[in-house]
Amino acid sequence: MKKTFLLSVALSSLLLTAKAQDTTKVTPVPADPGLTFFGSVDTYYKLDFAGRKNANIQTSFANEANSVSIGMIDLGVKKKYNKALFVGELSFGPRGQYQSIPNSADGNSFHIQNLYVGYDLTDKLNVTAGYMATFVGYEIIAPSGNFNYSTSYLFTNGPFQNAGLKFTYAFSDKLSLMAGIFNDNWNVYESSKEVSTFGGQLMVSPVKGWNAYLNVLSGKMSGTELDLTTAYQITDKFKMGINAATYSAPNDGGGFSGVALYPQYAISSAVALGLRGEYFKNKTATGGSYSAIPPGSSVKAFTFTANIKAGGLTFIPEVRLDNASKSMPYVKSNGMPTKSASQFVLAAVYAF
Amino acid sequence: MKKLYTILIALLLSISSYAQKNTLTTGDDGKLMYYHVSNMPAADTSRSLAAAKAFLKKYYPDIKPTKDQPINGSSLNAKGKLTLYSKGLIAGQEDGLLQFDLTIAFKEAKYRVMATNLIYLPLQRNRFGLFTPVPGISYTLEELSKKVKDTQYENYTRQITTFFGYLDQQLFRYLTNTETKQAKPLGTKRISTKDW
Repeated sequence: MKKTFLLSVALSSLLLTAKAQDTTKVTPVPADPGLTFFGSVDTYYKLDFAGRKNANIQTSFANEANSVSIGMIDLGVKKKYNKALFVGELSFGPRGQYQSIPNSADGNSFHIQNLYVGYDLTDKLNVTAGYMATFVGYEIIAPSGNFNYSTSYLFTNGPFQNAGLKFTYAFSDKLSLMAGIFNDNWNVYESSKEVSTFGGQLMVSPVKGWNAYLNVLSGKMSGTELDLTTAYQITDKFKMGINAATYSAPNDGGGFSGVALYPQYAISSAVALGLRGEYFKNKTATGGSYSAIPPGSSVKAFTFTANIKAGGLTFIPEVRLDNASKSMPYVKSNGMPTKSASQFVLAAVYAF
Repeated sequence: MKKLYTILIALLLSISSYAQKNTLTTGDDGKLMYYHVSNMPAADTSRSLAAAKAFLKKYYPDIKPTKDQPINGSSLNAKGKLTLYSKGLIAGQEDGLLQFDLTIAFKEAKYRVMATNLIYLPLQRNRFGLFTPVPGISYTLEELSKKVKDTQYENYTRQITTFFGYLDQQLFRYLTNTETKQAKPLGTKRISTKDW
Protein backbone atom coordinates (compact mmCIF):
# COMPACT_ATOMS: atom_id res chain seq x y z
CA MET A 1 0.00 0.00 0.00
CA LYS A 2 2.76 2.38 1.02
CA LYS A 3 4.73 1.48 -2.08
CA THR A 4 1.71 2.16 -4.31
CA PHE A 5 1.12 5.48 -2.60
CA LEU A 6 4.77 6.52 -2.91
CA LEU A 7 4.77 5.46 -6.55
CA SER A 8 1.67 7.50 -7.32
CA VAL A 9 3.07 10.54 -5.51
CA ALA A 10 6.35 10.21 -7.44
CA LEU A 11 4.47 9.93 -10.76
CA SER A 12 2.32 12.93 -9.87
CA SER A 13 5.37 15.00 -9.07
CA LEU A 14 6.96 13.98 -12.37
CA LEU A 15 3.81 15.02 -14.23
CA LEU A 16 3.69 18.34 -12.42
CA THR A 17 7.36 18.89 -13.13
CA ALA A 18 6.66 18.32 -16.80
CA LYS A 19 3.79 20.80 -16.61
CA ALA A 20 5.93 23.33 -14.80
CA GLN A 21 8.57 23.01 -17.48
CA ASP A 22 5.90 23.47 -20.08
CA THR A 23 5.20 26.97 -18.81
CA THR A 24 8.68 28.02 -19.83
CA LYS A 25 7.67 27.47 -23.43
CA VAL A 26 6.83 30.61 -25.31
CA THR A 27 3.08 30.99 -25.05
CA PRO A 28 1.17 32.83 -27.74
CA VAL A 29 0.25 36.48 -27.46
CA PRO A 30 -3.44 37.34 -26.91
CA ALA A 31 -5.21 35.75 -29.80
CA ASP A 32 -6.26 37.92 -32.69
CA PRO A 33 -9.84 36.74 -33.17
CA GLY A 34 -9.31 36.58 -36.90
CA LEU A 35 -12.55 37.77 -38.38
CA THR A 36 -14.34 40.22 -36.11
CA PHE A 37 -18.11 40.04 -36.18
CA PHE A 38 -20.26 42.95 -35.10
CA GLY A 39 -23.72 44.34 -35.57
CA SER A 40 -27.01 45.26 -34.01
CA VAL A 41 -30.71 44.56 -33.94
CA ASP A 42 -33.35 47.18 -33.19
CA THR A 43 -37.09 47.36 -32.72
CA TYR A 44 -39.41 50.13 -31.50
CA TYR A 45 -42.87 51.33 -30.64
CA LYS A 46 -43.88 54.82 -31.66
CA LEU A 47 -46.86 56.85 -30.53
CA ASP A 48 -47.79 59.92 -32.52
CA PHE A 49 -49.57 62.27 -30.11
CA ALA A 50 -51.87 63.46 -32.89
CA GLY A 51 -52.82 59.86 -33.54
CA ARG A 52 -51.66 60.01 -37.12
CA LYS A 53 -50.60 56.79 -38.77
CA ASN A 54 -48.39 58.37 -41.38
CA ALA A 55 -45.17 59.91 -40.17
CA ASN A 56 -45.87 63.42 -38.96
CA ILE A 57 -42.23 64.14 -38.26
CA GLN A 58 -40.51 63.10 -41.42
CA THR A 59 -36.95 62.52 -40.34
CA SER A 60 -35.33 59.16 -40.95
CA PHE A 61 -36.31 55.94 -39.21
CA ALA A 62 -38.72 55.43 -36.32
CA ASN A 63 -41.43 56.72 -38.61
CA GLU A 64 -44.07 54.02 -38.40
CA ALA A 65 -46.53 55.45 -35.91
CA ASN A 66 -48.79 53.57 -33.50
CA SER A 67 -47.04 50.34 -34.28
CA VAL A 68 -44.49 47.94 -32.91
CA SER A 69 -42.03 48.05 -35.79
CA ILE A 70 -38.58 46.89 -36.69
CA GLY A 71 -35.46 48.78 -37.57
CA MET A 72 -32.94 46.40 -38.99
CA ILE A 73 -30.55 43.59 -38.31
CA ASP A 74 -27.08 44.81 -39.07
CA LEU A 75 -24.34 42.22 -39.63
CA GLY A 76 -20.75 43.22 -40.08
CA VAL A 77 -17.48 41.41 -40.50
CA LYS A 78 -14.02 42.90 -40.39
CA LYS A 79 -10.47 41.69 -40.73
CA LYS A 80 -7.16 43.46 -40.56
CA TYR A 81 -4.03 41.51 -41.31
CA ASN A 82 -0.79 43.43 -41.18
CA LYS A 83 -1.49 46.50 -43.28
CA ALA A 84 -4.53 45.29 -45.19
CA LEU A 85 -8.11 45.66 -44.03
CA PHE A 86 -11.57 44.86 -45.23
CA VAL A 87 -14.99 45.66 -43.79
CA GLY A 88 -18.27 44.23 -45.00
CA GLU A 89 -21.54 45.27 -43.35
CA LEU A 90 -25.01 44.30 -44.51
CA SER A 91 -28.37 45.30 -43.09
CA PHE A 92 -31.76 43.76 -43.49
CA GLY A 93 -34.97 45.53 -42.54
CA PRO A 94 -36.66 48.88 -43.21
CA ARG A 95 -33.99 51.01 -41.51
CA GLY A 96 -31.27 49.51 -43.63
CA GLN A 97 -33.23 49.31 -46.87
CA TYR A 98 -35.84 51.68 -48.29
CA GLN A 99 -35.69 54.04 -45.33
CA SER A 100 -31.97 54.51 -45.91
CA ILE A 101 -31.84 55.01 -49.63
CA PRO A 102 -34.35 55.26 -52.42
CA ASN A 103 -35.49 51.74 -53.12
CA SER A 104 -33.48 50.72 -56.08
CA ALA A 105 -34.84 49.10 -59.19
CA ASP A 106 -33.02 45.86 -58.54
CA GLY A 107 -35.33 45.18 -55.58
CA ASN A 108 -32.56 44.23 -53.18
CA SER A 109 -33.75 42.70 -49.96
CA PHE A 110 -30.69 44.05 -48.20
CA HIS A 111 -28.57 47.13 -48.07
CA ILE A 112 -24.82 47.45 -47.88
CA GLN A 113 -23.72 49.76 -45.11
CA ASN A 114 -20.00 49.35 -45.62
CA LEU A 115 -18.06 47.39 -48.19
CA TYR A 116 -14.52 48.58 -48.55
CA VAL A 117 -10.88 47.67 -48.39
CA GLY A 118 -8.07 49.63 -46.85
CA TYR A 119 -4.30 49.59 -46.79
CA ASP A 120 -1.74 51.33 -44.60
CA LEU A 121 0.72 52.72 -47.11
CA THR A 122 2.88 54.01 -44.27
CA ASP A 123 2.49 54.42 -40.51
CA LYS A 124 0.69 57.68 -41.18
CA LEU A 125 -0.92 57.31 -44.60
CA ASN A 126 -3.90 55.08 -45.26
CA VAL A 127 -5.92 54.47 -48.41
CA THR A 128 -9.50 53.20 -48.47
CA ALA A 129 -11.72 52.29 -51.41
CA GLY A 130 -15.27 51.04 -51.76
CA TYR A 131 -18.72 51.91 -50.47
CA MET A 132 -18.44 53.55 -47.07
CA ALA A 133 -20.55 55.23 -44.45
CA THR A 134 -20.32 58.94 -45.06
CA PHE A 135 -17.77 60.91 -43.09
CA VAL A 136 -20.21 63.83 -42.91
CA GLY A 137 -22.47 64.51 -39.93
CA TYR A 138 -22.99 63.60 -36.31
CA GLU A 139 -25.52 60.78 -36.53
CA ILE A 140 -25.27 57.48 -38.40
CA ILE A 141 -27.59 54.78 -39.74
CA ALA A 142 -26.67 52.06 -37.21
CA PRO A 143 -28.82 52.72 -34.13
CA SER A 144 -26.02 51.55 -31.83
CA GLY A 145 -23.99 54.57 -32.93
CA ASN A 146 -26.59 57.19 -31.97
CA PHE A 147 -27.77 58.37 -28.58
CA ASN A 148 -31.22 59.40 -29.83
CA TYR A 149 -33.33 56.85 -31.67
CA SER A 150 -35.13 59.23 -34.01
CA THR A 151 -32.79 61.24 -36.17
CA SER A 152 -32.09 64.88 -36.90
CA TYR A 153 -33.13 66.86 -39.96
CA LEU A 154 -29.45 67.44 -40.71
CA PHE A 155 -28.82 63.69 -40.76
CA THR A 156 -31.90 62.85 -42.83
CA ASN A 157 -31.08 65.37 -45.52
CA GLY A 158 -27.34 64.82 -45.64
CA PRO A 159 -25.48 61.92 -47.22
CA PHE A 160 -25.69 58.43 -45.73
CA GLN A 161 -22.98 56.74 -47.74
CA ASN A 162 -20.38 57.63 -50.31
CA ALA A 163 -18.60 55.29 -52.68
CA GLY A 164 -15.11 56.32 -53.63
CA LEU A 165 -11.41 56.38 -52.89
CA LYS A 166 -9.92 58.33 -50.02
CA PHE A 167 -6.53 58.93 -48.48
CA THR A 168 -6.10 59.78 -44.81
CA TYR A 169 -2.88 61.20 -43.44
CA ALA A 170 -2.49 61.21 -39.67
CA PHE A 171 0.00 63.89 -38.65
CA SER A 172 -0.50 62.73 -35.06
CA ASP A 173 -3.26 61.43 -32.79
CA LYS A 174 -4.49 65.03 -32.68
CA LEU A 175 -4.47 66.01 -36.30
CA SER A 176 -5.39 64.22 -39.52
CA LEU A 177 -6.46 65.13 -43.00
CA MET A 178 -8.57 63.11 -45.40
CA ALA A 179 -9.08 63.81 -49.09
CA GLY A 180 -10.95 61.66 -51.55
CA ILE A 181 -12.88 61.41 -54.75
CA PHE A 182 -16.35 59.88 -54.70
CA ASN A 183 -19.18 58.92 -57.03
CA ASP A 184 -21.20 61.76 -58.52
CA ASN A 185 -24.24 61.04 -56.32
CA TRP A 186 -24.64 60.14 -52.65
CA ASN A 187 -26.03 56.79 -51.46
CA VAL A 188 -25.48 54.86 -54.68
CA TYR A 189 -23.49 51.74 -55.37
CA GLU A 190 -22.72 52.98 -58.85
CA SER A 191 -22.18 56.46 -60.24
CA SER A 192 -24.70 57.77 -62.74
CA LYS A 193 -21.97 59.15 -64.93
CA GLU A 194 -18.61 59.69 -63.25
CA VAL A 195 -16.54 59.82 -60.10
CA SER A 196 -16.59 63.56 -59.56
CA THR A 197 -17.50 64.47 -55.98
CA PHE A 198 -14.64 65.80 -53.89
CA GLY A 199 -14.60 65.03 -50.20
CA GLY A 200 -12.32 66.27 -47.47
CA GLN A 201 -12.11 66.08 -43.72
CA LEU A 202 -9.86 67.85 -41.25
CA MET A 203 -9.80 66.26 -37.81
CA VAL A 204 -8.36 68.07 -34.82
CA SER A 205 -8.30 67.03 -31.21
CA PRO A 206 -7.25 70.15 -29.28
CA VAL A 207 -7.56 68.60 -25.83
CA LYS A 208 -8.17 65.14 -24.42
CA GLY A 209 -11.75 64.09 -25.08
CA TRP A 210 -12.47 66.76 -27.67
CA ASN A 211 -12.59 65.81 -31.35
CA ALA A 212 -13.69 68.15 -34.12
CA TYR A 213 -14.25 67.29 -37.78
CA LEU A 214 -14.56 69.88 -40.51
CA ASN A 215 -16.05 68.20 -43.56
CA VAL A 216 -16.70 69.18 -47.13
CA LEU A 217 -18.42 67.21 -49.87
CA SER A 218 -18.78 68.94 -53.21
CA GLY A 219 -19.80 67.78 -56.66
CA LYS A 220 -21.59 69.24 -59.63
CA MET A 221 -24.32 66.59 -59.42
CA SER A 222 -24.56 66.13 -55.67
CA GLY A 223 -24.20 69.74 -54.55
CA THR A 224 -21.99 71.06 -51.80
CA GLU A 225 -22.25 70.40 -48.09
CA LEU A 226 -20.03 71.99 -45.47
CA ASP A 227 -20.27 70.33 -42.09
CA LEU A 228 -18.81 70.72 -38.63
CA THR A 229 -19.15 67.78 -36.26
CA THR A 230 -17.62 67.95 -32.83
CA ALA A 231 -17.98 66.23 -29.46
CA TYR A 232 -16.32 67.02 -26.17
CA GLN A 233 -16.36 64.66 -23.20
CA ILE A 234 -16.06 67.47 -20.68
CA THR A 235 -16.21 65.27 -17.60
CA ASP A 236 -16.63 61.54 -17.07
CA LYS A 237 -20.37 62.15 -16.95
CA PHE A 238 -21.03 65.10 -19.23
CA LYS A 239 -20.58 65.22 -22.99
CA MET A 240 -21.50 67.94 -25.44
CA GLY A 241 -21.84 67.38 -29.16
CA ILE A 242 -22.45 69.94 -31.90
CA ASN A 243 -23.33 69.50 -35.54
CA ALA A 244 -23.66 72.40 -37.92
CA ALA A 245 -24.04 72.16 -41.67
CA THR A 246 -25.06 74.05 -44.76
CA TYR A 247 -25.98 72.48 -48.07
CA SER A 248 -26.44 73.96 -51.52
CA ALA A 249 -28.14 71.79 -54.11
CA PRO A 250 -26.72 71.85 -57.63
CA ASN A 251 -28.00 74.30 -60.23
CA ASP A 252 -29.42 76.71 -57.62
CA GLY A 253 -31.85 74.02 -56.60
CA GLY A 254 -32.22 75.17 -53.02
CA GLY A 255 -30.57 73.90 -49.90
CA PHE A 256 -30.66 73.83 -46.13
CA SER A 257 -28.67 74.84 -43.13
CA GLY A 258 -28.92 73.98 -39.48
CA VAL A 259 -27.31 73.34 -36.16
CA ALA A 260 -27.92 70.68 -33.52
CA LEU A 261 -26.69 70.48 -29.93
CA TYR A 262 -26.32 67.16 -28.12
CA PRO A 263 -25.79 67.57 -24.37
CA GLN A 264 -25.67 64.20 -22.61
CA TYR A 265 -25.29 63.33 -18.94
CA ALA A 266 -24.50 59.89 -17.53
CA ILE A 267 -26.34 59.35 -14.26
CA SER A 268 -24.60 56.00 -13.82
CA SER A 269 -22.76 53.50 -15.98
CA ALA A 270 -26.16 52.11 -17.01
CA VAL A 271 -28.33 55.22 -17.35
CA ALA A 272 -27.75 58.39 -19.35
CA LEU A 273 -29.98 61.29 -20.29
CA GLY A 274 -29.63 63.44 -23.36
CA LEU A 275 -31.25 66.27 -25.22
CA ARG A 276 -31.04 67.06 -28.89
CA GLY A 277 -31.98 70.60 -29.75
CA GLU A 278 -31.98 71.33 -33.46
CA TYR A 279 -32.66 74.32 -35.65
CA PHE A 280 -33.11 73.49 -39.32
CA LYS A 281 -33.92 75.83 -42.16
CA ASN A 282 -34.81 75.33 -45.79
CA LYS A 283 -32.64 78.25 -46.74
CA THR A 284 -33.91 79.29 -50.13
CA ALA A 285 -37.15 80.81 -51.32
CA THR A 286 -37.61 78.22 -54.04
CA GLY A 287 -36.65 74.60 -54.56
CA GLY A 288 -37.79 71.40 -52.94
CA SER A 289 -38.81 70.54 -49.40
CA TYR A 290 -36.53 68.82 -46.92
CA SER A 291 -38.35 66.40 -44.60
CA ALA A 292 -41.59 68.30 -45.38
CA ILE A 293 -40.05 71.64 -44.44
CA PRO A 294 -40.83 73.85 -47.44
CA PRO A 295 -38.60 76.59 -48.92
CA GLY A 296 -38.20 79.59 -46.64
CA SER A 297 -39.44 77.73 -43.59
CA SER A 298 -37.59 76.45 -40.56
CA VAL A 299 -38.15 74.08 -37.66
CA LYS A 300 -36.99 73.80 -34.08
CA ALA A 301 -36.91 70.23 -32.80
CA PHE A 302 -36.32 69.06 -29.24
CA THR A 303 -35.77 65.41 -28.41
CA PHE A 304 -35.35 64.27 -24.83
CA THR A 305 -33.87 60.77 -24.69
CA ALA A 306 -32.75 58.27 -22.08
CA ASN A 307 -30.38 55.36 -22.65
CA ILE A 308 -30.81 52.49 -20.21
CA LYS A 309 -28.27 49.73 -20.66
CA ALA A 310 -28.78 46.12 -19.62
CA GLY A 311 -25.94 43.97 -20.91
CA GLY A 312 -25.77 44.35 -24.67
CA LEU A 313 -29.28 45.75 -24.75
CA THR A 314 -30.08 49.47 -24.64
CA PHE A 315 -33.63 50.70 -24.02
CA ILE A 316 -34.24 54.12 -25.53
CA PRO A 317 -37.35 55.99 -24.45
CA GLU A 318 -37.66 59.43 -26.01
CA VAL A 319 -40.09 62.28 -26.34
CA ARG A 320 -39.86 64.64 -29.29
CA LEU A 321 -41.47 67.97 -30.07
CA ASP A 322 -41.00 69.73 -33.43
CA ASN A 323 -42.24 73.24 -34.05
CA ALA A 324 -42.09 74.84 -37.50
CA SER A 325 -42.24 78.49 -38.45
CA LYS A 326 -43.80 80.11 -41.53
CA SER A 327 -45.39 76.83 -42.56
CA MET A 328 -47.63 74.06 -41.30
CA PRO A 329 -45.93 70.83 -42.35
CA TYR A 330 -47.62 68.61 -39.74
CA VAL A 331 -51.16 67.31 -39.31
CA LYS A 332 -53.46 67.45 -36.30
CA SER A 333 -55.68 64.61 -35.17
CA ASN A 334 -58.58 66.19 -37.05
CA GLY A 335 -56.56 66.22 -40.25
CA MET A 336 -55.95 69.98 -40.27
CA PRO A 337 -52.42 71.27 -40.90
CA THR A 338 -50.47 72.54 -37.94
CA LYS A 339 -47.10 73.97 -37.02
CA SER A 340 -46.15 71.41 -34.40
CA ALA A 341 -45.96 67.68 -33.93
CA SER A 342 -44.91 65.46 -31.07
CA GLN A 343 -44.21 61.80 -30.55
CA PHE A 344 -43.05 59.19 -28.07
CA VAL A 345 -40.74 56.34 -28.99
CA LEU A 346 -39.59 53.36 -26.99
CA ALA A 347 -36.84 51.50 -28.77
CA ALA A 348 -34.66 48.54 -27.87
CA VAL A 349 -31.27 48.11 -29.51
CA TYR A 350 -29.00 45.12 -29.04
CA ALA A 351 -25.44 45.71 -30.14
CA PHE A 352 -22.75 43.08 -30.45
CA MET B 1 7.97 7.50 6.93
CA LYS B 2 6.05 10.60 8.05
CA LYS B 3 9.07 12.72 7.18
CA LEU B 4 9.08 11.23 3.70
CA TYR B 5 5.40 12.10 3.23
CA THR B 6 6.02 15.63 4.45
CA ILE B 7 8.93 16.08 2.03
CA LEU B 8 6.90 14.74 -0.87
CA ILE B 9 3.94 17.00 -0.14
CA ALA B 10 6.24 20.01 0.20
CA LEU B 11 7.82 19.06 -3.12
CA LEU B 12 4.39 18.86 -4.78
CA LEU B 13 3.38 22.25 -3.41
CA SER B 14 6.57 23.94 -4.51
CA ILE B 15 6.26 22.48 -8.01
CA SER B 16 2.65 23.52 -8.36
CA SER B 17 3.43 27.04 -7.18
CA TYR B 18 6.20 27.24 -9.80
CA ALA B 19 3.63 26.28 -12.40
CA GLN B 20 1.45 29.27 -11.52
CA LYS B 21 1.02 31.81 -14.29
CA ASN B 22 2.62 35.23 -14.22
CA THR B 23 0.48 37.85 -12.55
CA LEU B 24 0.57 41.61 -12.35
CA THR B 25 2.25 42.99 -9.27
CA THR B 26 1.93 46.22 -7.33
CA GLY B 27 4.82 48.67 -7.72
CA ASP B 28 6.35 51.20 -5.33
CA ASP B 29 3.67 53.73 -6.28
CA GLY B 30 0.88 51.31 -5.36
CA LYS B 31 -0.10 50.82 -9.02
CA LEU B 32 -0.35 47.58 -10.93
CA MET B 33 2.55 46.70 -13.19
CA TYR B 34 4.19 43.80 -14.97
CA TYR B 35 7.60 43.13 -13.45
CA HIS B 36 10.02 40.34 -14.14
CA VAL B 37 13.76 39.98 -13.53
CA SER B 38 15.78 37.49 -15.58
CA ASN B 39 19.33 36.32 -15.25
CA MET B 40 21.47 36.29 -18.33
CA PRO B 41 25.12 35.67 -19.14
CA ALA B 42 27.16 38.73 -18.27
CA ALA B 43 27.40 41.06 -21.25
CA ASP B 44 28.33 44.60 -22.06
CA THR B 45 25.36 46.80 -21.07
CA SER B 46 25.63 48.97 -24.14
CA ARG B 47 25.56 45.91 -26.37
CA SER B 48 22.53 44.48 -24.52
CA LEU B 49 20.74 47.81 -24.80
CA ALA B 50 21.34 47.89 -28.53
CA ALA B 51 20.02 44.34 -28.77
CA ALA B 52 16.89 45.26 -26.79
CA LYS B 53 16.27 48.18 -29.09
CA ALA B 54 16.75 46.00 -32.15
CA PHE B 55 14.42 43.42 -30.62
CA LEU B 56 11.58 45.92 -30.24
CA LYS B 57 12.11 47.24 -33.74
CA LYS B 58 12.03 43.75 -35.21
CA TYR B 59 9.24 42.09 -33.24
CA TYR B 60 7.23 44.95 -31.75
CA PRO B 61 7.48 47.91 -34.14
CA ASP B 62 4.42 49.51 -32.53
CA ILE B 63 6.27 49.77 -29.21
CA LYS B 64 8.29 52.90 -29.85
CA PRO B 65 11.34 53.95 -27.80
CA THR B 66 10.76 57.36 -26.27
CA LYS B 67 12.84 60.35 -27.34
CA ASP B 68 14.13 61.09 -23.85
CA GLN B 69 16.03 58.00 -22.76
CA PRO B 70 17.52 57.77 -19.23
CA ILE B 71 21.00 59.20 -18.89
CA ASN B 72 22.42 56.15 -17.11
CA GLY B 73 22.56 54.29 -20.42
CA SER B 74 21.49 51.00 -18.89
CA SER B 75 17.79 51.00 -19.63
CA LEU B 76 15.46 51.46 -22.56
CA ASN B 77 12.14 53.29 -22.22
CA ALA B 78 9.35 52.76 -24.73
CA LYS B 79 5.62 53.34 -25.11
CA GLY B 80 3.09 51.01 -26.65
CA LYS B 81 -0.49 49.88 -26.95
CA LEU B 82 -2.06 46.46 -26.65
CA THR B 83 -5.49 45.56 -28.03
CA LEU B 84 -7.63 43.64 -25.56
CA TYR B 85 -10.36 41.36 -26.82
CA SER B 86 -13.66 40.33 -25.33
CA LYS B 87 -14.85 36.77 -25.41
CA GLY B 88 -17.66 36.21 -27.86
CA LEU B 89 -19.86 33.28 -28.72
CA ILE B 90 -18.35 32.91 -32.17
CA ALA B 91 -15.23 35.03 -32.02
CA GLY B 92 -13.70 37.72 -29.89
CA GLN B 93 -14.08 41.41 -30.53
CA GLU B 94 -11.81 44.35 -29.91
CA ASP B 95 -12.92 45.68 -26.56
CA GLY B 96 -10.23 47.98 -25.26
CA LEU B 97 -6.78 49.35 -25.73
CA LEU B 98 -4.09 49.20 -23.05
CA GLN B 99 -1.54 52.00 -23.10
CA PHE B 100 1.70 51.22 -21.30
CA ASP B 101 5.24 52.36 -20.65
CA LEU B 102 7.79 49.62 -21.15
CA THR B 103 11.21 49.67 -19.49
CA ILE B 104 13.94 47.15 -20.19
CA ALA B 105 16.80 47.72 -17.74
CA PHE B 106 20.15 45.93 -17.49
CA LYS B 107 22.30 45.51 -14.41
CA GLU B 108 25.28 43.20 -14.10
CA ALA B 109 24.27 39.71 -15.19
CA LYS B 110 20.53 40.32 -15.19
CA TYR B 111 17.84 42.46 -16.70
CA ARG B 112 14.26 43.39 -15.88
CA VAL B 113 11.16 44.03 -17.93
CA MET B 114 8.67 46.49 -16.46
CA ALA B 115 5.35 47.58 -17.91
CA THR B 116 3.95 50.50 -15.95
CA ASN B 117 1.41 53.30 -16.26
CA LEU B 118 -1.20 50.81 -17.48
CA ILE B 119 -4.14 52.79 -18.86
CA TYR B 120 -7.26 51.21 -20.34
CA LEU B 121 -9.11 52.95 -23.18
CA PRO B 122 -12.54 51.49 -24.00
CA LEU B 123 -13.26 51.00 -27.69
CA GLN B 124 -16.48 51.67 -29.55
CA ARG B 125 -17.54 50.81 -33.08
CA ASN B 126 -17.56 53.77 -35.39
CA ARG B 127 -19.52 54.39 -38.58
CA PHE B 128 -16.93 52.61 -40.70
CA GLY B 129 -17.16 49.37 -38.73
CA LEU B 130 -13.85 50.00 -36.99
CA PHE B 131 -13.22 50.00 -33.27
CA THR B 132 -11.77 53.26 -31.97
CA PRO B 133 -11.19 54.68 -28.46
CA VAL B 134 -14.08 56.54 -26.85
CA PRO B 135 -12.79 60.14 -26.75
CA GLY B 136 -12.00 61.40 -23.28
CA ILE B 137 -12.61 58.13 -21.41
CA SER B 138 -9.70 56.24 -19.84
CA TYR B 139 -9.15 54.26 -16.66
CA THR B 140 -6.13 53.07 -14.79
CA LEU B 141 -6.10 49.33 -14.38
CA GLU B 142 -6.98 49.80 -10.70
CA GLU B 143 -10.03 51.89 -11.64
CA LEU B 144 -11.01 49.40 -14.32
CA SER B 145 -11.49 46.64 -11.76
CA LYS B 146 -14.42 48.66 -10.38
CA LYS B 147 -15.86 49.52 -13.79
CA VAL B 148 -16.19 46.09 -15.38
CA LYS B 149 -17.32 42.65 -14.29
CA ASP B 150 -14.83 40.42 -12.51
CA THR B 151 -14.77 37.92 -15.38
CA GLN B 152 -14.05 40.69 -17.89
CA TYR B 153 -11.31 42.12 -15.68
CA GLU B 154 -9.74 38.69 -15.27
CA ASN B 155 -9.90 38.20 -19.02
CA TYR B 156 -8.07 41.49 -19.55
CA THR B 157 -5.37 40.83 -16.93
CA ARG B 158 -4.81 37.36 -18.34
CA GLN B 159 -4.27 38.83 -21.80
CA ILE B 160 -1.93 41.49 -20.39
CA THR B 161 0.22 39.04 -18.45
CA THR B 162 0.29 36.62 -21.37
CA PHE B 163 1.40 39.38 -23.71
CA PHE B 164 4.20 40.68 -21.49
CA GLY B 165 5.21 37.17 -20.47
CA TYR B 166 5.54 36.29 -24.14
CA LEU B 167 7.50 39.46 -24.90
CA ASP B 168 9.72 38.73 -21.92
CA GLN B 169 10.50 35.18 -23.06
CA GLN B 170 11.06 36.28 -26.64
CA LEU B 171 13.44 38.95 -25.41
CA PHE B 172 15.34 36.40 -23.30
CA ARG B 173 15.82 34.16 -26.32
CA TYR B 174 16.85 37.13 -28.44
CA LEU B 175 19.37 38.40 -25.91
CA THR B 176 20.92 35.02 -25.32
CA ASN B 177 21.32 33.78 -28.86
CA THR B 178 24.72 34.08 -30.48
CA GLU B 179 23.58 36.28 -33.33
CA THR B 180 22.33 38.88 -30.93
CA LYS B 181 25.50 38.79 -28.90
CA GLN B 182 27.21 40.23 -31.94
CA ALA B 183 24.84 43.18 -32.11
CA LYS B 184 26.60 46.46 -32.46
CA PRO B 185 26.69 48.57 -29.32
CA LEU B 186 24.92 51.92 -29.29
CA GLY B 187 27.25 54.69 -30.48
CA THR B 188 29.41 56.32 -27.87
CA LYS B 189 29.22 55.34 -24.24
CA ARG B 190 26.98 57.55 -22.14
CA ILE B 191 28.24 59.06 -18.93
CA SER B 192 26.61 60.69 -15.97
CA THR B 193 27.91 64.16 -15.32
CA LYS B 194 26.21 64.26 -11.93
CA ASP B 195 28.65 61.84 -10.31
CA TRP B 196 32.29 62.83 -10.71
